[in-house]
Amino acid sequence: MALTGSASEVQRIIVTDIRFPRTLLAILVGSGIAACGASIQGLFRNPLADPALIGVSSGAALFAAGYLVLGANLSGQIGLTTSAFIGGLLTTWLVLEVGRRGGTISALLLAGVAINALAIAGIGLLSYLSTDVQLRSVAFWALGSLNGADWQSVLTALVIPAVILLLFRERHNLNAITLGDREASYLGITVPKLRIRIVVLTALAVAVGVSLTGVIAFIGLIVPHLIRLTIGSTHQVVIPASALLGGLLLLIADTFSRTLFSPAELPVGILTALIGGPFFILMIIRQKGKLGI
Amino acid sequence: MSLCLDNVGYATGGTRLIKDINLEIDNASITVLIGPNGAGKTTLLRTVSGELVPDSGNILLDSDNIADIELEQRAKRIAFLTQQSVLDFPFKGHEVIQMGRIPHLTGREHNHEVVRAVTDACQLQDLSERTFTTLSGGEQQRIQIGRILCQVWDQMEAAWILFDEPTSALDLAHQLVFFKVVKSLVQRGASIILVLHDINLAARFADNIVLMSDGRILASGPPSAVINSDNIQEAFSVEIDLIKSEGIERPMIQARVPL
Repeated sequence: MALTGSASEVQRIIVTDIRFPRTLLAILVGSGIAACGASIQGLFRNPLADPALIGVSSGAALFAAGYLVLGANLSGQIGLTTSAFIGGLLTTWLVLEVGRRGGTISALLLAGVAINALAIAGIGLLSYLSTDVQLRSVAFWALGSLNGADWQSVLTALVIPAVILLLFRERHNLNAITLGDREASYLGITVPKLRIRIVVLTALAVAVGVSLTGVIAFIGLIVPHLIRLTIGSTHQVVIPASALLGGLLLLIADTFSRTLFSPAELPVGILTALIGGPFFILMIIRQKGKLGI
Repeated sequence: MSLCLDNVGYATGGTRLIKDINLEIDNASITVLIGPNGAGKTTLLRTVSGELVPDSGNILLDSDNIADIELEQRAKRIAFLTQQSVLDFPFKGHEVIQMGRIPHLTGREHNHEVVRAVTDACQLQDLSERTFTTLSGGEQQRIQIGRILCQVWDQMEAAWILFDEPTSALDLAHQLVFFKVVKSLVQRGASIILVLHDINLAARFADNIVLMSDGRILASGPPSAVINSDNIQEAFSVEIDLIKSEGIERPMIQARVPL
């Protein structure tokens, strides 16, 4: 009796303190990445922009890892998230500026590629400087995993639905900006301010996500694309629908990543990249000539 | 009620794109800008739209200095179809048209009504459910024209509509639909400024023509005063003959080409 009692107690703890927060975190982070992907694609006027592909996530991860390795005595989620936010903000701004100077969408995407490579190199450098314990965490950010989910992280992740709501408020402005910066301004929109709002909001949500789960690529790319193919392209549809599907998709991916090689666990970032990479290639081939590159 | 340009000039990167522009345009009229490539027609439209701030002179729109009108208010009075709007997202035709309502908080139902009215007037029914990115260049242009009209549809008497080569990709039938719609808007009080390359088309539909060359206004006034062989020769360096066509009183030209 005592044994079964403690077994059910363990089960209860597993469900309430491990599985349940992990489920919620997957939904929150997935919805954030997808809604941010949709918004960034609108802002960059390119359906191939993705927070992970253009280096925002890596920038956030680099700063989070830097915080952990260089400021080893400091700890706590807030410092970590703030560093990730600064990193995400800086990289998004850098990509936008370099891309604007380049003048074309391909310049923008290439700037993202270069900045992504820089950030990954920075993370590599940090991993040389880090202790063994730190190294595990640094590797965790590079791969992306929901392994560390607890109620504390779910609480932090509540920033994400707030960001999604604020992005949804920009739906008409995001529709307008897909026509072009000038066209948006003829529709009465102060484009530089809009750009800052979207960059700050997406950097915030991506940073919170990255500081909790590391870099999870391609959800932000695949999900809005699927929504545009099936439901519609206006941002009043794409933002909420991407949030829903993004949450669901990351939850499913995480379930697979936990159970596929059970008892060993595959970082979910590897899984989304394994599925997302080929999907991305398919998108490139199917859109031939229409990418503005 | 008019648009008044007083000694307007604009330069960028050391190049003077327009200079000494003095022009008064009455409202509820059609004004066509013509002139060779690089004459400054698009730059002039962009200054009138308020996007480019002239480095000399000023522009008065119904006696308001255009630089003082806030962006959001400007969008309710001025609609501008540019040449190079590129849209890479698979919006439906009617969704693009409806983007013209973004400056207005007139409610979903009213906006839908406006979209429907524009769709009917511009004969866009066949395109409204189609995906914008799959349309031909001319079809995309027709949708974009619809979007521009949607922006000022319910307040035409206060509207200034600027079109930069709106018919460049349109077939003959749809060019005529476009000009028929434009004429009807002018009757509702709208003021239209267009850039056109087809001088005969310009002469037929314009109340006034502004001939530009090298950043300046070479001649302006009713078609019969502007379209003559001296002016055209000076602007385009092309010799022309004026030709007569049955039932058309406006001047028509034909380039003298050795064949």
